[in-house]
Amino acid sequence: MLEILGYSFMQKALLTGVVIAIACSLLGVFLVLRRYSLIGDGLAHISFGGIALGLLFGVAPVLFALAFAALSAIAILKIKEKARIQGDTAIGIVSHAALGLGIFIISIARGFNVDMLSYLFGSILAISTLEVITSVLLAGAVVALIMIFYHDLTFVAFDEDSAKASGIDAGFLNTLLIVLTAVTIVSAMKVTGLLLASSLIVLPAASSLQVAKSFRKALFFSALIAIVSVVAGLALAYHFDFAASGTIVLLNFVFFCILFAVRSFLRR
Amino acid sequence: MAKHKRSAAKEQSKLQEDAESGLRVDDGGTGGVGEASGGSIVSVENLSFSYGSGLVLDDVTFSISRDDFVGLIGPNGSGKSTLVKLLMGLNKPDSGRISLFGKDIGSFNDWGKIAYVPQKASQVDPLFPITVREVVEMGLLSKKRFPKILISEDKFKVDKALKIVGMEGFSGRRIGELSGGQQQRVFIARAVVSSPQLLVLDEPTVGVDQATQVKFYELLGNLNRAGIAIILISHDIGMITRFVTKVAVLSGKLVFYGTHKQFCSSDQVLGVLAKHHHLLDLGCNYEKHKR
Repeated sequence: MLEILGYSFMQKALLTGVVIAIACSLLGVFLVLRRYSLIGDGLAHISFGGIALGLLFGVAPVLFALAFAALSAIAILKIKEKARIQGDTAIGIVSHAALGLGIFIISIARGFNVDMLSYLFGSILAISTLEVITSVLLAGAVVALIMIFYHDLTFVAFDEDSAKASGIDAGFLNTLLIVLTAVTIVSAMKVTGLLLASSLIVLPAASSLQVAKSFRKALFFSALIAIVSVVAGLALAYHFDFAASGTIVLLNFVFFCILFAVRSFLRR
Repeated sequence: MAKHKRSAAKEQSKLQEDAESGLRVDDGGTGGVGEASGGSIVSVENLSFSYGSGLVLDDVTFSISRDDFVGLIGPNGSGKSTLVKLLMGLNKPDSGRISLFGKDIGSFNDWGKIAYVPQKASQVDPLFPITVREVVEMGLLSKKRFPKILISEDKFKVDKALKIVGMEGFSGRRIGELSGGQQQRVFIARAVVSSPQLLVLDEPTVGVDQATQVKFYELLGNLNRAGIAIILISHDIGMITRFVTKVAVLSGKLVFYGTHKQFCSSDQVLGVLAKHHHLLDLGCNYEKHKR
């Protein structure tokens, strides 16, 4: 088992996977509780458009996707506010436009379908050193910002009106939350791929909420579940030659089922 | 039964003592510096507000002193919650002026002096993983600058606030597991933990049984006597007029603002309310319960 730690590619995969797992799972608790679970999917679609644009212009696709997703996240908030439509509709408008843009670019540019596949399905075991550094820095920044704004984010998630009345800038925190989600999705796409990127946001948080009684414990359990699923998923993928991203997501689903069953049993 | 009554009376007396000694408002020895002339901490002048083309508040003027317990009543859609949102700076008025503690609301930034309790009991997500203690801590942490860390004195304040509302034994419980009345007590604790000088409550007892409501309003009376001015929105006129010192009746315009006694002797106001509410119990037969 420990022999896999001797491989450089596995060390990179574990480091990247664990840091991203922590960022996704912490952010996920806030998003799930605010009923923004599907924003991760929307931002993944948006990142797809960003990646396609980056490949088209020959610019670093990850950085292009990052800027594109962050700006689109802010656009979602503005559309929701100015057009007076529901948040999920605003997400749908922007994400489908970006997805359409991505598909359009692929159809006219041709030739980078193979590159797109690695972003769509993830390739954590083939991650480069530059990608490790980029992902770890991005995810590390997300975790640091969550820690800095932890108390205010919690207050806004629990009771936005009272938080505003206490002088907390809820508008800023909402923008921060959605931009951090965009950054996290982009940093996670090499681990799980864009198609499953939001799974690391939704599943560990949803599992944790089955058993956690306090907010601090919810964050702790969510991070723990995400880390265990990434480490175990990578080990299983290596030994049995499974797809790493799919294995990680399925393990997360198994954890959810177990904790859901435990909660149901305890409630009897 | 008698023993139970004595115990309840003792508990109530202790609660009042705790509220009056433990949460007496500290004005920092300023003797009310920052208040407008006449001791008013809230001053509203010619306030108007509309949503789109619909005028919700029309030329509203009143002021509140630091020892007031104001019951803000009126029919549904009369602008009560809108007025509170304007007072809390959540909306901006179309015209008119709001002053808080002697400062125009546009330049007012001492929100630690004001605490807000929303109409929340029926809206708490039962699955939200947050303990009673964490909720009360929010009241302190939201007023702090970075880094937001609780020191031992803060922990003592949280314990004290929980004790005042009689929830000290529920500190580690998830708030979603509590009854509506208990949840509102926790929100009161969150509001008073930072020693505010003004407490604003927006229909806090929705979905709460009558016996619990009475205890809840008595608690507010204790807090008022401890030096906290209170604005309480309610559509349950008969219930709150037994406890408040002043009554404000809103129906787009401010129809009435005065003491409870004046309220009960104003046939015109009673007529308007009875017509809107189809309610005959306006709390005017309960003078004997008032302090």
